[in-house]
Amino acid sequence: MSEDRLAVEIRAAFDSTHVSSPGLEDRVVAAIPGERTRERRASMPRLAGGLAATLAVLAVAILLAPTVMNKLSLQFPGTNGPEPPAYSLAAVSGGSVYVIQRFTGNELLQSSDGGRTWVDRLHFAGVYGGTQVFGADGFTWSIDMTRSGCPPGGGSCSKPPSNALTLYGTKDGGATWAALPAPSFPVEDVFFLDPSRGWVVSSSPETGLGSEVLYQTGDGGMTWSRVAALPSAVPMGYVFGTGNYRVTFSSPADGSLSGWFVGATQLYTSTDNGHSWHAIVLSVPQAVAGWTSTPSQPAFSGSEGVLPIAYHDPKGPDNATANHIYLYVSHDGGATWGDPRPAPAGFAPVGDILSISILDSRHIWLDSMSLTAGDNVQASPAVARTSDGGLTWSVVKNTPRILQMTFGDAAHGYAEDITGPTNTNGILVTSDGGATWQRVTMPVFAARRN
Amino acid sequence: MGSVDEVSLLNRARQGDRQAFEEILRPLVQPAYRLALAMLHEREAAEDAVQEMALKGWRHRGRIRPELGTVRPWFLSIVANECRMARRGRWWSVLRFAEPLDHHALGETDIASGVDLRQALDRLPYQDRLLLHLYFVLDLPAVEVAQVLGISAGAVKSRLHRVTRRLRPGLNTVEVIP
Repeated sequence: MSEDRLAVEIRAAFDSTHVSSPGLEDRVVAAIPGERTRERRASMPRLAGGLAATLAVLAVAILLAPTVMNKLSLQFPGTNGPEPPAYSLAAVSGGSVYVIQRFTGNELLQSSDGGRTWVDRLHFAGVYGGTQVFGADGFTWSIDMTRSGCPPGGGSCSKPPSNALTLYGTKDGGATWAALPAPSFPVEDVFFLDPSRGWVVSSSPETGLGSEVLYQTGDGGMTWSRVAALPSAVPMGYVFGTGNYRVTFSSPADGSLSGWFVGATQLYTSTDNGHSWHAIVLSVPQAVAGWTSTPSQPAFSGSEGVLPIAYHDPKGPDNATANHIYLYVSHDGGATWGDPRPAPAGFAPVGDILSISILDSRHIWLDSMSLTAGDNVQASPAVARTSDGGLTWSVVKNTPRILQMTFGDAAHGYAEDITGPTNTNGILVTSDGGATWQRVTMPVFAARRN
Repeated sequence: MGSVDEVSLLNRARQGDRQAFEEILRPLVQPAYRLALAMLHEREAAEDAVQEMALKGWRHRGRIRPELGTVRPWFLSIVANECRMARRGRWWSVLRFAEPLDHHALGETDIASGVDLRQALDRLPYQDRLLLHLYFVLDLPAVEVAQVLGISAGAVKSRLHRVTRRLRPGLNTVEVIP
């Protein structure tokens, strides 16, 4: 028998049980959290007559009493009916929490009373990038991902997005925000260590990963200067887990400065302000010897640091679940790492949702959309927390489906989750260290802009 | 490596451009559904797996590798993982495997000569069925199959050789795999 004939037979055998699923593409796309600019714009001309009048009434209602809209679950219509805005948990600092609310633009909202009331602080365009707040000072930014050279009637655009950075700063605790000068280079990621020192990873849309260049500012984003190219080691395959491609810097109590760059399977560090980088070699726990490691960025409290590493056995009998997270600790500002401490089983499923929130080197939270540990599948979302740097853990099961958590102290924190049949975003608050969560009611400020 | 447009699209998706993400997602939905249905044999569960693929792909879009020119292996690996976990859940065991099949008890002769090919495929270990579907049904090149399964391209070839010989002992597959 030829391979061609076998292929036909195998294909026919698989297809003999196939059942089509018409419209699946639309349903799958519609359930993705986030704004759907194209559809929403296209839907507006369809409004006419009574519906338009109704919309006008609703618009007035929004202006007069925005919380009414939220309570009634009424939003501006999209192609798939009422659609709530998208949310990103931006930052937690002191008594304030910042949330990004999005329709076609970004609204930076601030609450100083635990999420009970909110103030709309800033409207800005672009793809939301991030927010960092240091007491009264802070930064929020977006990146322009709009293509140009697009034919009027549709079709492929001739020019890629500019990746231009739009950066705002505050010096009064978030009350007012001012635009900072735009860098002249394309931007991929931003990190500030304090109100003055910041770094930007630059990578043009054409070149992609592996060609990043590091820039720095010492005056709070007013001016930028090129530092050096970042390590270009690109992994050979996709890596799941906790890896990312960010650059962060830390400065322990002795005033030294260390940079941290995660390619995918390798963590690099710099002790000369980002001019040169070298890979960190970690001792591998016996239980995961030979496995692929996926590092995350370290976090520090003074000289005490914690570094999460996810280990994945690519040759294991079940490479979906044979994963483990270890927390390495440092007592010298990151110069040396050791004493790997295992996270609770099931919090590092390959390809599954996983996020880490590090308040300091002792208080760490992990969340997972579904726990998976070997053959023991626990379908419920869960949160694990430690207050001793990973020596002991407590696990809370049946939590909301949390995407991201941020804590202001050991007890008080906020989370962004996905909820409901259409997987919309929501904001949660906890006052008991993540054991229980309450949903925050958000007024829809973003609707005013559309 | 994909074209400049494809790389640009992947870059935009990686940066959080929802429209770009949709553009790369849509062509992968039906292949992913086809794979999930073949693994799970249940439409609703297969659709759930595809939905999870989209959500997790969006959540982890920062790991899109534009320079590779495609996210197909990554997305399909998410689906494969979802299917594996769905099969291992208790509800699935009760529904689907009330009378467990002991595939280890099947010898080469049994599969090759006695039973229908479809039954033989159903009795293969999960990883082997996944391998055959990716390679023969979705027509993925060996290097992409390897990325989905988390193994080397060489391991893909040797596994294909082993599995197809179990199905049809007279075939030498390795010689014709690109």
